Amino acid sequence: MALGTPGRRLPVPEEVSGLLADLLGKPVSVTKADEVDLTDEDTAYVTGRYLDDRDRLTCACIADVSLAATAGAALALIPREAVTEAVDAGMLGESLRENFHEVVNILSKFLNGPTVPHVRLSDLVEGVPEDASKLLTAATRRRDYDVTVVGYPGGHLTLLGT
Amino acid sequence: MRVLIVDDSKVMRMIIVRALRQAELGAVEVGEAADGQEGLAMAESFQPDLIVSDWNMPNMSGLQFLQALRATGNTTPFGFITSETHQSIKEEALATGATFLLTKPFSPEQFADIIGATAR
Repeated sequence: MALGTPGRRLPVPEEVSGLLADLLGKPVSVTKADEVDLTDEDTAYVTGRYLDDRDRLTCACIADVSLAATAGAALALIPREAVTEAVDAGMLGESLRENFHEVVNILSKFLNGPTVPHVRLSDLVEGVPEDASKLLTAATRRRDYDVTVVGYPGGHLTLLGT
Repeated sequence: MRVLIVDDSKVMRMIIVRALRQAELGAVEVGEAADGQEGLAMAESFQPDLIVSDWNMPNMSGLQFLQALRATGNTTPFGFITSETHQSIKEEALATGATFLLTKPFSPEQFADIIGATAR
């Protein structure tokens, strides 16, 4: 980040809960969480990668599979058993994946603003890819959240932005 | 009323259909297209009264879709439903002939208000 460039503002928990509640049509609770180790091989993650208009990876949204499946299921009124199946499998099925892609796309709303370069969702990938891991630097802003959705298990969310 | 929904996300199309039902606009017939090319074909065959489109789509962006539609002489009211919030994008959309730009996520009331106003 160049000196004098305003940093990308990441949302506070209340903003995330408001957006998710509107989107999922259910009560959602979001609280500030401790930073988790995103390289922990015992936890399965899904990463949304956001590129700027010069196709540079600028932001990432990293969710554990439990949260990704929760949001994907709640969005389309899919029973919570599908979340359990996804957690057991350590990955999202096609339907949950497509639904969570839309959630991550809408989360880009928080990453854009008048004083920072525009970003758009590029893709959603399993795990935490190397380029997203590189965002975990001192120059990157990070917020971690614990998310619960009524009727579903919920999980952990991390937003990274330069 | 006939509404054409153009969005590459199946679940987003489903959410918009659900919102249309909740908006109590009377009988609504819905057509769906997964991208701008399909949207152009559907605009011709389905003859919608209103088109709602995503902004970011593969192959042809929502803006390119609107430009291509208007280039055919089609003047159907057209709105964007998008996660994009930049003022410049809204200005570009309206300058190209969009009637409205609604930001995701939207409440059923917001959706009903803007669709109802456009349909009147």
